[in-house]
Amino acid sequence: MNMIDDKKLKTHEEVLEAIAEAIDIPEHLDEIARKRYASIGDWLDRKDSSISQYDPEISPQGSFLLGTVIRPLGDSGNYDVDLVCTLKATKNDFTMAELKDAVGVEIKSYAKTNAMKKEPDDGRRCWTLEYSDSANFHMDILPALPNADSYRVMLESRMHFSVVANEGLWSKAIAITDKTDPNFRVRCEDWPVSNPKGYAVWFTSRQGDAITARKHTVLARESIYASVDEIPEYKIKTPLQRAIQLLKRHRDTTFEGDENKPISIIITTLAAHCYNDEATISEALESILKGMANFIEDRNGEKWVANPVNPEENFADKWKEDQDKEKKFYSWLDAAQRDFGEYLRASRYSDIPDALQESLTKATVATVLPLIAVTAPAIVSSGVAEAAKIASDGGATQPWCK
Amino acid sequence: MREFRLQRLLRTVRSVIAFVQPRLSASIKNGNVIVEGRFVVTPTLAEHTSDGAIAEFSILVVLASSYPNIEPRVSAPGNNIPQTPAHHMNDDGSCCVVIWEEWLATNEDNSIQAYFDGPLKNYFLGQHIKLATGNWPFGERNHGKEGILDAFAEILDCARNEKKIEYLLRILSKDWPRGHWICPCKSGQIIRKCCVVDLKTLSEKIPSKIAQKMLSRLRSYILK
Repeated sequence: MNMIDDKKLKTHEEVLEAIAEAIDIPEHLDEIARKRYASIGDWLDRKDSSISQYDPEISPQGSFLLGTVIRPLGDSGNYDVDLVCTLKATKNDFTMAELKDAVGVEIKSYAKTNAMKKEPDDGRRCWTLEYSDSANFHMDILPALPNADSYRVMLESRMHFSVVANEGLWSKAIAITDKTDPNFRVRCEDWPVSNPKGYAVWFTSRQGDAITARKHTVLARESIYASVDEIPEYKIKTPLQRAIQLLKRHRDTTFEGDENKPISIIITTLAAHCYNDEATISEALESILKGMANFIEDRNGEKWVANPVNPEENFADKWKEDQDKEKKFYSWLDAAQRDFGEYLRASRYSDIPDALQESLTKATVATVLPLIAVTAPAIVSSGVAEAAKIASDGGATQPWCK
Repeated sequence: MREFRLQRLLRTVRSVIAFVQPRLSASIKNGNVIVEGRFVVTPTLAEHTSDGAIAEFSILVVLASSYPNIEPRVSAPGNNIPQTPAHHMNDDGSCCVVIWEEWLATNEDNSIQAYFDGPLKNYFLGQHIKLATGNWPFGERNHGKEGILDAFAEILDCARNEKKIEYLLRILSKDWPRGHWICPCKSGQIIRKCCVVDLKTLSEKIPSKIAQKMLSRLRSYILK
């Protein structure tokens, strides 16, 4: 066997890893995104900034924070980068409207200074910066204030003591702005809340030892790092993150352009609940796809996918208003079970079924196909070996005839 | 109540076949849960998992709402399996997957999952190997009553004697104790004064409900 053959993909796992890598955000775009939001952070925090006294801090949320970003479908798609701009201020310093405007002034001046073609968009909750160069990003910037104490009190009052017991799950909670909130222009304590960093802490905790294990793999492969501590977490992908990326892509192609498609936070939350330290993407997918539905609660006839860091929040709250959303979630789950099961349980690693190719996009799979090794199957010997294993495990049974 | 049990069984079956049996589907028909499609025999050894399915067979499984009290009826239409006793296919086209009572008596887990992962997989893996090599990988039971007697004697750990097996099963079928019955060891004493400890141990291994099923199966041959 020559070196080229050694590098070919010879297992389902290697093929899935290659496909997941192909749908992941390319490293150079990831770097650009990080530089861009760091640049916004620097702008907001510069000496002349009108909000510099509040030490504005820009941080990612959503899939950029969780490491589950995927490329947009099609060549013209945009990456949505969700950011939080937190000011070290209190609800006495601002109304929601004032906070939105204060951040907006600086975002607008940033756009102007950087000669951006479009004015920032003043959305319901966020300011959106649209980059229209080779790296197509939409940066949604959510103005926010620290809100840990109120958040903890809320959790305690509703007896969510398991969340309160882990400081990481609530200490970075934020109060956010929302134009549709009746208190938008009122100076008050009653603001909408969010907790993306707490969610990320929970998500990381669900990955157990997988992060460290992957860092060791990277350390062994790449000589640029001297120790695992030097490897940033966003540079590695665990089986859970890879499985979520594949499932999100499957979802996107199943419901291209359909607003009722299952939302990413539901897929991510259910997947993280099901993940049980599986060492491979294949095993993670099996656990997730077999277990997902079991983590959807039924609370008095209403389906609940609770936010793990705020159990009062139901990520599936829209299902009640629009049953098509619930129906589409379950039909997608059926399709995902069938498509990934068909590949992982019924096909050779080199035979990616058409339905899975379609759902991960043929274009993506086409980039991986040439990397797959062609080997001869060993059907009879694998059957005999399987029978020997069953017998040695004490699971043999004998047929009979009436 | 039956409808509730049927719906619960359907949910269980669907969760068992989800992902791992992507070519099977389950539905309710004529008061039973029907599983149909192609059953995939999948390797579990790490060195073979990337080889894909070892074999696949078209199957139809009928599960009663009272599973596991009633044995699933399995048929395998449209395959290349000869419809002969040598391939453990009954005259009516059904597959003789296993002696049901033997499996119930020797396995604590009689769930649908255990059935699919155990006897059903073993049977079709066996068919695949039989077709390829002429041999059953786990051996096979004799047909008809002979196979029943072999299996039950093993389970009861007693001589392969029809009358003795029947008497033992009669004892085990009753609510314990039945100390005043004549001891099956032929000592002439009553159980209470003879093999009470051994029989107590055996009754813990084979619950009365399973013993009743075994007895009923055996009697169906005695009456023939």
